[in-house]
Amino acid sequence: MIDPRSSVIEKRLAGVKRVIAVTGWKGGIGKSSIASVLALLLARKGHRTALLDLDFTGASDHIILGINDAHYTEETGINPPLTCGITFMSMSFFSQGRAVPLRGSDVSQAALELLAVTQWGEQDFLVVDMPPGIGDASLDMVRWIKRAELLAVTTPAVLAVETLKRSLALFERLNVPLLGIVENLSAGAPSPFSHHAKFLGAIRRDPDLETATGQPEMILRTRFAEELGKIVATFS
Amino acid sequence: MHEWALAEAVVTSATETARQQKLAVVEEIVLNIGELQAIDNEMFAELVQGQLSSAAVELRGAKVRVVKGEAAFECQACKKEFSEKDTKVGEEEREAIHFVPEMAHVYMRCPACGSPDFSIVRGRGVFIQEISGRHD
Repeated sequence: MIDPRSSVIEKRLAGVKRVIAVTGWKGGIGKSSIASVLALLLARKGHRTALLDLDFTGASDHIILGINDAHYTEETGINPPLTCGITFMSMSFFSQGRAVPLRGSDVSQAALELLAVTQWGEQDFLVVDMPPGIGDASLDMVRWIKRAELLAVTTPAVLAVETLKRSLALFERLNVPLLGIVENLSAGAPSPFSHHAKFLGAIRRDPDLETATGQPEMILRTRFAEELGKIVATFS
Repeated sequence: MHEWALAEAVVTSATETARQQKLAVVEEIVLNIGELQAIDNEMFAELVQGQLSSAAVELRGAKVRVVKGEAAFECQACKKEFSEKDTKVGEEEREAIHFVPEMAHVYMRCPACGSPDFSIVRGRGVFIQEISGRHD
């Protein structure tokens, strides 16, 4: 039996100029915040921007961006809604706010289904909020979307730093292009990655981000967005 | 309808497979459509047939036949095997599963122990079961 879905992924992404896969290999490091606000910043700069939340078991981009009433439409596939200036697709459209208890291979299957049927149209950027860790879904994603550029998120915490080092080595062996490394939740000290050729910058811990959750305009006025904006300027 | 996108995947994949198998003429494509995806088999076969009419020349005359794949599940907690008929799923939930079959884990439960932790043994999606043709 042949699963035909992966054969059509490149067609679905034919109108997308760049794919940025925001990834982090430890929980709680702000991967989804960076993916969501990155998409918001790119859109506000005038880039046609799409955001795909593939963190199925912990989907939160719609909460960060306050996307409550947007809904996809059907034509020759699923057309994601344009909301907050972003073309947005998430498993939250299908899970109705319930928990999504998927094992690793099921996450891959669901991601493949969305990649096969979502019609992205013309986009300058597709930001993908990647599944956490280096399990089935992450490995499948970089296999299916070979031109995805990794934006690796870490924090200054030793465990996050060490995990990032190991994961970067793995993805280098898999020939996945690295767009850069971003340190989130910085306390202001120099990053352990500050001398890495692909270190793009640090974002300080910003308590205002929590208050602004769900309010895109308020998010854009936070120090978090300002500092991420400087990083975005290095590659957009 | 999102079935169009799946039909396009079938035609793209069938084209690749026919070329790998060096088939000069594809005579029949057999599709296995999983019950869980809740696709109208006849309508889907017509969609694929329609797209084949403008596909690569070796596929244009191919007939499309659909085999229904019954869904089967196995509970990871109590090992009970069950079918879709054994579960209670509403219309709205069924639509979500229609788009992404893995949403079954959100809305379905093991009829014996109530666990959402089950595996979809078969019947989840659209597959090409067989491609047959001539090499001349």
